[in-house]
Amino acid sequence: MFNPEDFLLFAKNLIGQASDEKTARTCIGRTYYAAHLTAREKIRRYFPTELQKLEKKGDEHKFVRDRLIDRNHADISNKLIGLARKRNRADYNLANYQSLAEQQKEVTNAIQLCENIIFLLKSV
Amino acid sequence: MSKVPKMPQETLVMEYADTYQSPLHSNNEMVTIDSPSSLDYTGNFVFGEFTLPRKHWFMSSKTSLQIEPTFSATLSAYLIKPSLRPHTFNVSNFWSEATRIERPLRTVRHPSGLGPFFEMQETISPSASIQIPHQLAEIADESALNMLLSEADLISHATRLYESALREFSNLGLSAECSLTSYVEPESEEVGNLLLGVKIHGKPYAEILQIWDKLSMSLPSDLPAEIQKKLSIVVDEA
Repeated sequence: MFNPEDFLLFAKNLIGQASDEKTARTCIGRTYYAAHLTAREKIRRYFPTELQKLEKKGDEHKFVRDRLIDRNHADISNKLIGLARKRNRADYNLANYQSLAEQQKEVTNAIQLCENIIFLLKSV
Repeated sequence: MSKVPKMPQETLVMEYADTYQSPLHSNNEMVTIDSPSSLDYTGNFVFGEFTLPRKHWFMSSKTSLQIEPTFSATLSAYLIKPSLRPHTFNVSNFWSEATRIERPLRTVRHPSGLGPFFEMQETISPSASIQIPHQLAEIADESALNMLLSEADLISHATRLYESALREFSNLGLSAECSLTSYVEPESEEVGNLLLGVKIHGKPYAEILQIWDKLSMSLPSDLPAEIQKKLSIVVDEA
């Protein structure tokens, strides 16, 4: 089975090779899915049926965050929203980042946040 | 939205419902309002003659304009009164308040023989509107205000969350700025979260992640899980 943490490795490798905006946006998107899918698979252990019953894939993001809260991990839930916002900015908002520095900061922060979430998920 | 009543120009009619109606007269300079963003809800009202003190009154969404043959216009908006105290405010033409929750319905008739821009004062009872604490209203954007209006039970919890965060900033000696907004999944139709955004100055991101953990731990522990699922705190680098 594919390991979602590979998305994080991919993002870190990719950003080391290029610093253009499309690469930055791609990296941010992959870091989010590395974190979200890792969290989802953790949650699947406790709520396999409920997760499978979700009719829309789009609803699983909130489902995962809510189940983390049910298991007293509001901190991880909050951080997933934080990373999701960066990902939404990267994937949906076509306005350019204000500067190359801001763009680079967004990528490195997304990678750090993703690493932090995956670390915290080890206790779930 | 309520339809603009056709009325004699000598009479201004105000319905207290979930919309506000401020009829304009044909000798007014017509103002076009075509989207909610036309409302500067932290500053002056777009009709120009009507001024709301910044940070005291907010209007949000549901903005629309209907031009009738009589050149009357209707602005539908919600005024959110953040203060718990009764307010007195000046209006041009006629303007008043209503709420989405209570929807008091009555009609006020006022002779407009003084002209379209006469001034009057109206004292608003605090019980007649949704109370959003001033400190919360100050940091909230339009989407957050709408969410608070539609889920009023969030107001007290959001206030406690914000106050708790402010205390923690003080304890940790942080320079931070807060905002209240909403977060909705772009690929989902589910109701979103109310989100307290915190931007911290002068700290490396690794340290901000630790501060985020501390803030999450220091939040009111008695917040019900169902409220926690609607209320989130997101910390970032300023």
